[in-house]
Amino acid sequence: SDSRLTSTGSAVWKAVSQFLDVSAPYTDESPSTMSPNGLPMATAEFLQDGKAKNCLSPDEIIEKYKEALIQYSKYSYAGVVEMEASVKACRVMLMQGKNLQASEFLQNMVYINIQLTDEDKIQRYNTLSALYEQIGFKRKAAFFKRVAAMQCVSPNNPNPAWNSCYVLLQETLDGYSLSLDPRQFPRAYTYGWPAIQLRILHEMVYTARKMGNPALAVRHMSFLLHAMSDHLSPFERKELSKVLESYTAKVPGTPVPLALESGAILPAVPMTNLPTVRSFKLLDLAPHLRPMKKPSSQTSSATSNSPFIYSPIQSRQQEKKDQSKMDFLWVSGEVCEMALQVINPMPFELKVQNMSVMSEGIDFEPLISNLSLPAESGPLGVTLLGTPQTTGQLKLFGYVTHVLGVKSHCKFKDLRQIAETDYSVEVVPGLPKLQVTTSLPKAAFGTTNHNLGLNKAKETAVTSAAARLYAGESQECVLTLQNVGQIPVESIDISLDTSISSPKVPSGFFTWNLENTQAQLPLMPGAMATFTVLIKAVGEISAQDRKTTENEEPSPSSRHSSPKKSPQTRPRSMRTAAMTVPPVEVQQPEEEKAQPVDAVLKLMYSGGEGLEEGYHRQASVILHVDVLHALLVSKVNILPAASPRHCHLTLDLHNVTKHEVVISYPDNDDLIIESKQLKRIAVRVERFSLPEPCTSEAPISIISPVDARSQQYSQQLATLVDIRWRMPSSGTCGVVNLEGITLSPEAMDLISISPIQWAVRIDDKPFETEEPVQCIMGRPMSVQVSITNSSSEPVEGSTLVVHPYQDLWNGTVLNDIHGKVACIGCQQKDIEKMNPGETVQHTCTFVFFCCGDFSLDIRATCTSRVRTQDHKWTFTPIVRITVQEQK
Amino acid sequence: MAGNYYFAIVGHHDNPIFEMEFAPPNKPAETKKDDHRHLNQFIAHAALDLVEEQMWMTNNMYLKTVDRFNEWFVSAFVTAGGMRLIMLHDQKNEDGIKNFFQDMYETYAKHAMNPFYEPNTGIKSQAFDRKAQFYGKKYLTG
Repeated sequence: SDSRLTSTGSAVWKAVSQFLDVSAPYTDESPSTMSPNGLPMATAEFLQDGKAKNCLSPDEIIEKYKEALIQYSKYSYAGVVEMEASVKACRVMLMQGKNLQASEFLQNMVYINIQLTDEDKIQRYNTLSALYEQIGFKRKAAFFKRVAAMQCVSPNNPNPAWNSCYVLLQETLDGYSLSLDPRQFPRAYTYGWPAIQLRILHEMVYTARKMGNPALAVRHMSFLLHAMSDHLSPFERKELSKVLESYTAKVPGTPVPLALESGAILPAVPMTNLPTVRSFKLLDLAPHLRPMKKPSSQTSSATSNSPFIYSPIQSRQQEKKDQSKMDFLWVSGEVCEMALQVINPMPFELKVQNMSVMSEGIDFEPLISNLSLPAESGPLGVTLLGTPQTTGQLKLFGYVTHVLGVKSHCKFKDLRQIAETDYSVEVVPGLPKLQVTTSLPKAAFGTTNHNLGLNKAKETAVTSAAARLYAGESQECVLTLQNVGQIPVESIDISLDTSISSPKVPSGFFTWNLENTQAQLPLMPGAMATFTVLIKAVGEISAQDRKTTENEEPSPSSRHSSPKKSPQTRPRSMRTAAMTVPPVEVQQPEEEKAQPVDAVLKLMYSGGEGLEEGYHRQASVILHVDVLHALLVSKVNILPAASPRHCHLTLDLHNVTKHEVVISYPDNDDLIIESKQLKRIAVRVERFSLPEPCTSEAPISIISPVDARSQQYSQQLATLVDIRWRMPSSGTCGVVNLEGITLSPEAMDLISISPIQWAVRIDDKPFETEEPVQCIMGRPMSVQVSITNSSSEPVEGSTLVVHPYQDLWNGTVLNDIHGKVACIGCQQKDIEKMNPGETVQHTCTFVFFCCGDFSLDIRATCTSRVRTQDHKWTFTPIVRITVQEQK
Repeated sequence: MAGNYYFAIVGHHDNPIFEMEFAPPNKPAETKKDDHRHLNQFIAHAALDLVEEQMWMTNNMYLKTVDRFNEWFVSAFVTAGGMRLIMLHDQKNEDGIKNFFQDMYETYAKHAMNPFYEPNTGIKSQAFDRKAQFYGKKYLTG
């Protein structure tokens, strides 16, 4: 009877499945499409015409079915019939849209006790699952599907059907809200019941192994670790990782999709959380290796095509700048860096092997790295390297890892923590690489430096050179350029950026000759070239109190005190005088108080294909010079010389160094100035004239016209006067640069060749010598002064004065000598205007009433409105008159 | 009325946010097989389909017994916020379960008001555990 029952059972189940197969596509909305198949057709008719006399009402049908089922259940051999009735009732309920009642019939079905083979049991549960599926009970369907799967491999079953079990298990996944797509994990929320999902996955892994498909087991195991990691305890994670490793020891995990016999395709599981990459960044090359385009092209790209100077929309667009496009360039053939931050969430040391990046666009040779991450550590910084081989747009879209024996291709688009789906960077043709070394020691910048420009320059500079020089000293800095790249250097250009130095760097501080270096081009790989920068330390040389003494109006006598003495003798007398004077101690600058001068020397070089494309590299060298005070000029004075074409420049030189300084200057012996000593020197200077600065420019210029003129004169003086110093102790030597001195207007007038040429005749004899004029007391002496404007511009508003005075040779000058001399005619003559070349003559006669030595001060002053400054020209040599009694 | 009980609060994505088992006091550490507990979870999960159907049939939050599987009955309670309180029990105890659900609902509502608690995430609170234990003893196993 058992076999009969079984066969009956199978027959019933066949019928049921057939019925299900046929009715599966039907929906409640389209009952008319039903095939003529007994009961369903009747039901359909019933639904179409609910008021038919012979038909039961919907509720009555349920009642009838219930009644029938109660009757059937009384007899154990009617089990098959009862089951069929239940299934049919369920269908009817389904059509009536009464899912709940339908589920009640299905519920009942589970408890019908009939003897069935294992195969039929599986079929029964499978069918039950399908029916539940139809009434929309996905969870119930999954439940019975799993029961069916377990039935396939029940311990009592002599030949467990692992394959069917696997297929059934796979079908439960949907009901348990589980997807085998690794891209859906990790999720922000928990979907489904993690404990159940884990159980199912474990069962799938186990089934896959039993099926003899280790690749499948590895795939599911890696998915389990990848997707369910959040729901695993640390211990479980560790254990499962060990299990996975033991599996992959035999069959390594691959990054390709797996096709199943059923036709389903299992996507590859990239282990994106082992390790978790938190950030990915392409790194720019080191500042000195960055390729740069010629500036002309940069300006064209910078111009906006918007007509508005400012627009809020525009700025917002700029904010939204494409983060995936790098705003820097990589160079073909050179190692480039990518920075990653990785986290190891596992409670054991994670070994990541063969980590590299995935790229497309151009040839890119990634360098493979192996990492070992300590347990539960991170974020740790990791740098991946690679070398672009060709030029163009390089796109990086993911990375490759080999963890726990599973090869993973992790793409950025699947990583939630990485914003961009890919990163692209432009690769430009290869450029040469220069290594720059200097002959000077490297600069040691203090940490307390607040010079922002300098700090910025420090970051980008390849090297630096430091020197400590006395003002006026010069030093050579030899830069050695070695081509350490693979491409010959074909062009070099040098520029100097002095903007980082807060006081302006004087022109001529750094000078170089590029031609010598350029003659050495092309510089082959490995070859060296040199380049010399001459540093001329220019520093403050004027003492701070320089103007105080200058502003005093020098009296005629003091200026003319010893005109007859030769210039050679004068400095010695001056020196003795100066040594008696206590040295100027007002805020004396210390030697150690060095003034720093910073500049950045930029070497632009290029070669090879990069040069053709217009790219170059820039190596910048910071030049840092500490300028020490050596000799300070505390006082500058100009004295007229015997010859009208010359004058004497006297300088009070203050040696502020700790060393003895030897001064050498033209026409003189060397002069030694001890440390902290002040000495005066005099230098004969040829007079010169400079064009007047135009007054109309005065309001625009910031510096006053007097200062501008003084600067002009001092610059001219500096070219004429060559004063050198050397320190015997250290062997250093330098020059005294006179550019920094300030001249008073009087001094400037003395230096400049006067626009007025003098011709003095005394008693109709031209006065040319320095010999005193002999004169008889009481006899008139005529003095004829004629002045000629020898300049190219008219002189306006000048006054010619002939003034007699007495110099007592003891420092006292008697200007008021009315009783001693009388003037016939005018002592003074106003001249409105003197055109160029015009000569004005003035004659007056003096009668001396007593004997003695007299002098005549003959001068012309100009108080023009046009000129910026009063000018004063004095006739030299001074006319000396010796009055004697008539013999 | 001592029996075995398995209680779970299920969130909106079918995710359990709280689970607890109650056993009669006379045999407390009953050999709870791992397999057994899994079965509870499978049954509770499958019963969610019925809960979702039945919750629209009544105005009450307490849905009484919604499902059964083998010796297990499944009772449910759906909160106003759509959280589902599921109870698996092997003995009829309608009033006790109703009271238990009512008190657990109140406890849950209080817990959900904690600004540091994010809805739909697992409840990790000793106070909540103690409350659940207490109500379990009071209404179910006690």
